[in-house]
Amino acid sequence: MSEFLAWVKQWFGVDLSGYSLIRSGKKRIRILTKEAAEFDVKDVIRGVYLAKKAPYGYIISVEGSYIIGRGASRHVVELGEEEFGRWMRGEDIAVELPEKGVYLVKFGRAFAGSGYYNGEVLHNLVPKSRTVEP
Amino acid sequence: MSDGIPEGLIKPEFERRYRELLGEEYDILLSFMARKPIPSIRLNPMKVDPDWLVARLEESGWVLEPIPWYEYGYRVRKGPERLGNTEWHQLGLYYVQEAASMIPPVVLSPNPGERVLDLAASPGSKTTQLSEMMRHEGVLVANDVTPDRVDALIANIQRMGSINVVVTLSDGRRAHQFFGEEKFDKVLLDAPCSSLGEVRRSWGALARWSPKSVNKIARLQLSLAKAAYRVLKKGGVMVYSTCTLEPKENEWVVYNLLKLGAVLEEPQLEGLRWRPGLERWMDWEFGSELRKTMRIYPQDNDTIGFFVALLRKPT
Ligand SMILES: C[S@@+](CC[C@H](N)C(=O)[O-])C[C@H]1O[C@@H](n2cnc3c(N)ncnc32)[C@H](O)[C@@H]1O
Repeated sequence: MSEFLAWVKQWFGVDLSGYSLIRSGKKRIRILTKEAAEFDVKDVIRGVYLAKKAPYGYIISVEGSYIIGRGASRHVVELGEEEFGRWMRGEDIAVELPEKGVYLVKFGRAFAGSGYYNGEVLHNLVPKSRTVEP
Repeated sequence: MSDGIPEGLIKPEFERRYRELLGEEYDILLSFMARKPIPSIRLNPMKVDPDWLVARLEESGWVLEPIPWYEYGYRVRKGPERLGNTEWHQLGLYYVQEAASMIPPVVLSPNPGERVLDLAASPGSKTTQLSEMMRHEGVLVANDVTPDRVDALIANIQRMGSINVVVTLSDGRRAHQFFGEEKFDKVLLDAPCSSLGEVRRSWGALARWSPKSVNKIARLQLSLAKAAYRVLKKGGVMVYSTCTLEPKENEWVVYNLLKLGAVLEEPQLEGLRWRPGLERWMDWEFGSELRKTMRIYPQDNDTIGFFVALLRKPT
C-alpha cells in the first residue's frame, strides 16, 4: 500500500493519507473514509474500487480519477468535446503528451477515468461497463 | 375503468377499498396510475459542480425542471431516451431516480459525521443520496437481505463514489442482533412493499394485489420496523417509507411502532403536496397522531405514490 501511496504522490502530486486504503484481492485497492474503515461490523464490502496494479503503474478507476484528479498537479489530460465523446464510447485517443505513463482524463469539470499513454495514443482503461453504448 | 389500465386488472375488492379511501378522487388516482412517470435525475454534488452539469445538459438540448423538495433533483422534460446510457450517468454524475423516491432521505436529513443505517438498501438510490447528503462524512451502513440485489447496490455505490458506505448482507428483521442495540443516529427503512405507488412504472403490482398479500407483507414490514427501531439510539430519528398506498402497510405499521414508545414528528418539506396519514381505516383506530405521517398520492405532485413517516426514539 505504501508503494501505491508513494506512486500517487510522486506521479500526480496527491497525498491520499487522509483516506483509508484497503487491499481487495491481489491487485486491487479500495478507498474509503477512515471512519467507515473503522466501523465494527461484518461487511460484504466497503468503500469503492480505486486502482489496480498494472505493469506501467496503476489503472485508476473512474471514481479514483476524480478523487485524485481534483488535487492533481500533473498527468491529467483534458479532452475536447468530440474526443471526450469517443473516449466515453471506449475508444483510444491519439494525443501528444509529455511522457509515457498513466494519465487521468478530464472534460470540463468532470473526470473520466484513466488511460495509458504509450507515446502515440492514450489507451482507454475505462471498463466497458462504464462506457456509453453507441 | 380508467383509460389505459387493462381491463380486468383491477380487482373488485381493490376498487371497493380505494373508493372508500379516496371517494370521488378514486378515478383521478387511476388516471395517474395509467400514466408513465416523468423521468427524473438526481445530480451528484460530490463528483461534479451541479451548476456546471446543468449548464452542459441544457447546452446539449435537455430541458430540466428543478424538483422543489431536493436541491439536486431535476425532472427531465426533454432529454435522451435512455438516461442510463449517457456519459454523465456512466461517470456517476447523476442517478436516475423518481422524484418521490428522493423524499425519504430528505425527511431523514442525515448530517455529516452521523452514523446512519439504510436497512433495506438495494439497489441504492437512497443510499447514494444519503451518502451525498452526509458529504461522505460519518458512516452509512447499507444493508439488504438479497445477494443478487446487493450486487446492484455495490455497483451503484461504486458509480456514485460513496466512500463512506459499508455494505452488509443480513436479514433486517434481526438487525438488533446483527448490529447491536441503539447503534445509529438515524435509520431509514424503505421497506419492501406491495408497490402500488409504482403502478405507473409497471402493472405488475396491480395484478399481484390482494388483501392476503398485503397482510403478509405488512407482517414483514412490522418486524423490519421494530428491528430498525431497536438499533436506533435514544434521541435518534428513523424514517419508515414505502412506495405503496395501503394503510395496512403504512399507518398500521407506524401505529404499532408508537406502541413501543416511538414519537411521530411532522416532516418539513418545501414545495411538496401531501395528505395527512389516516386516523382510522376499516376496523383500526390509529389515532390523530398518524396525521403527522405523509401520504403522497400520484396526482398530488405527478410522481409515483409514497408514504413517509418520521419517528423519534425518546431519550
Ligand atoms: C423498496 S426496496 C428498497 C429500495 C432502496 N431503498 C432504494 O431506494 O434503492 C426494498 C428492499 O428490501 C429488501 N428486503 C426484503 N426483505 C428484507 C429483509 N428481511 N431484510 C432486509 N432487506 C429486505 C429487498 O431485497 C429490497 O431490496
